[in-house]
Amino acid sequence: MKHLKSLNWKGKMIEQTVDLEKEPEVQGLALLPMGCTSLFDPGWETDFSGTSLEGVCQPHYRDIYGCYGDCWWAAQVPDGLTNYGSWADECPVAANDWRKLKYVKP
Amino acid sequence: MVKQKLGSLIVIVGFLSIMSACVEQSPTGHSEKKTANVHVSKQVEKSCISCHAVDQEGKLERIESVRKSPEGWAQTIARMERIHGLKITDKEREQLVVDLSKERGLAPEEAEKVQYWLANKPSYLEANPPNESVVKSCIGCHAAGRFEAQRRTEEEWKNLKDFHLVMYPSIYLNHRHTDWPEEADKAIEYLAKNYGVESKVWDQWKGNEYDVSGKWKVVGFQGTKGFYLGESEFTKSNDGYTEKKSIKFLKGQGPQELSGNMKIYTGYMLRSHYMQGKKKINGSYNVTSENLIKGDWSYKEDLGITGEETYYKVQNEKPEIFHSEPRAWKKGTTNKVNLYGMNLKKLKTEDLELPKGVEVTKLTATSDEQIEAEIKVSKNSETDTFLVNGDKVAVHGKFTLYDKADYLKIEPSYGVSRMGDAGPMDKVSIQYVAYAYSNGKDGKSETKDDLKLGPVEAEWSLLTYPEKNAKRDDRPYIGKLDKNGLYTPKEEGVNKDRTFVQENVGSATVTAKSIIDGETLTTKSHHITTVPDYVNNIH
Repeated sequence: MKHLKSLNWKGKMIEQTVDLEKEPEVQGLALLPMGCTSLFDPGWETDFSGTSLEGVCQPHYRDIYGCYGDCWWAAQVPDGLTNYGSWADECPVAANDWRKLKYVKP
Repeated sequence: MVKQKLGSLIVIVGFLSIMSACVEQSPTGHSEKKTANVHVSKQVEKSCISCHAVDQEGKLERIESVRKSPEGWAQTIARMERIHGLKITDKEREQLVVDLSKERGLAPEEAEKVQYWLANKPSYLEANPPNESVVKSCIGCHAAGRFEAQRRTEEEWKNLKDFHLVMYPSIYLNHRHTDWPEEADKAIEYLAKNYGVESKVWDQWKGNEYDVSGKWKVVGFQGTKGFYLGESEFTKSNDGYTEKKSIKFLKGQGPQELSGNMKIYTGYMLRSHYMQGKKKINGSYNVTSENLIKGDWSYKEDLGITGEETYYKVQNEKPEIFHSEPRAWKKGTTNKVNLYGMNLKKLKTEDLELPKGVEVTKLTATSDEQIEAEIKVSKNSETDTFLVNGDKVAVHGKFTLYDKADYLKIEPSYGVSRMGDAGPMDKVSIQYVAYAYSNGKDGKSETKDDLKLGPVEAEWSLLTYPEKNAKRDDRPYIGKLDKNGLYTPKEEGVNKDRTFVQENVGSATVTAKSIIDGETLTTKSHHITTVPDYVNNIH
């Protein structure tokens, strides 16, 4: 990340907010409560710091199909690859219809 | 359309021909086994045997090589329906869970270790499994309780690896920081050795079942509200029990009435569904003896509203004490203690066998359920926990003798609250509780001999995270911490008042301040309000 430079003012603001050089404060799920993932790219419940949410996608539903289609956090977001192919059928545009997204029960 | 139907018919006829050929070619020994024994149950044979063959050892493939909790079996059956085309009715599904839990379930000793997972306790901090490969390959995604609530043969643990690679192929990518298949192989070695399907405790338990009919006394604890006492009655129904329960908080308004249905699985696991007014409450309990039931409950629509309960079977023979307020008695002083239980009017001072230096100076039974006692504890008595014994009395739980309250701790130490209620997703609140601790014999804090003295009332507040030089303050947006420690998050969706395009998520520091014996103690814990958890199961 140290080789990336922000081009516009939004990028500069994000750089100020997110300390990219910060060492991870949590190593592994043991320090995160049960049910949270420690796969931090960028992270579901928290970002790589393990304690805050600066680096995660916001609002969360903007990128939820990135998690869903790729089966990225299968214990937190339904996976569209094998298990829940029709989960998002009623919600073609998550940015507009996210209120229709439901729980799944495995 | 006609062509499609004709095509389907040809496929079905072809499939049936192949199936019948397979049956004819099967060794006769297999078909003899199948007719001679029932594999798990008639319902399991009816629903499962068309896919799960009987193997050379006479076992139903896969099914008879694993053992699981009712929740585990329910998830497996749901997956069979979702992915493998199993068609069953609600009644058949329930029968399958009952039968599989009975024949291929967990022993009480095995289930007790994962009760936190079965009860889906929010913000529960699991201990790391003592195997690095298990840590690397499993718990980055889900809780250790998920696999620790299963028992499998070595082959079945190996199958679980293949299952992950097929079901969740992105595991290669999202675990690219490690060699997942290699780590999984090492994890399997550990799991096969420590979570094998054969176990003495299961052999001893299998086939037993408790009858919980009758009247019980209840002691419970709900964070932010405190301890409560209650009465309950279980009545047998067609498929389990019905329960009527009345509870009253020690510090609170009049009794609250609950009623519900419950089923018993594996002979000792009770799963309850209560109504309290319009609120739905789910309970997960284990019968641990003829006279004792322990478990947890939570609101169906807010997992963060939760409590723990213990039931004691009503008896008329001798005094029984099951709760004490407080349970920790200070040395060098006379402690005013309220003891709760049953048949307490029969209790005499000499019935209680207490440690050296501990003396009951006054014992006044205000009813059969409550005693007001004065207990003098010498300064020279031993700082420690102890059990109260006595032939003429039953006393449950440990008591503590301590010098002073030295520090506080907040539970949960890391609170994960989740936004909800804007759509179908439920919010998850957090009940923060402050506990007082004593340094114990060594006089040092955070050591093994420290004594947990019990929950204390506290003054609650939220600070920024980090406390100093925070780049932004999330507190106005993420939710509210009330005066009792109950944290309630806000709903999902972009909050236009925030910088960037953000929802009501963020971090904060929770602080508790309590004055104990004139000394002010404070402590902190970490808090996040985060996104919903769309996979609504126990992790």
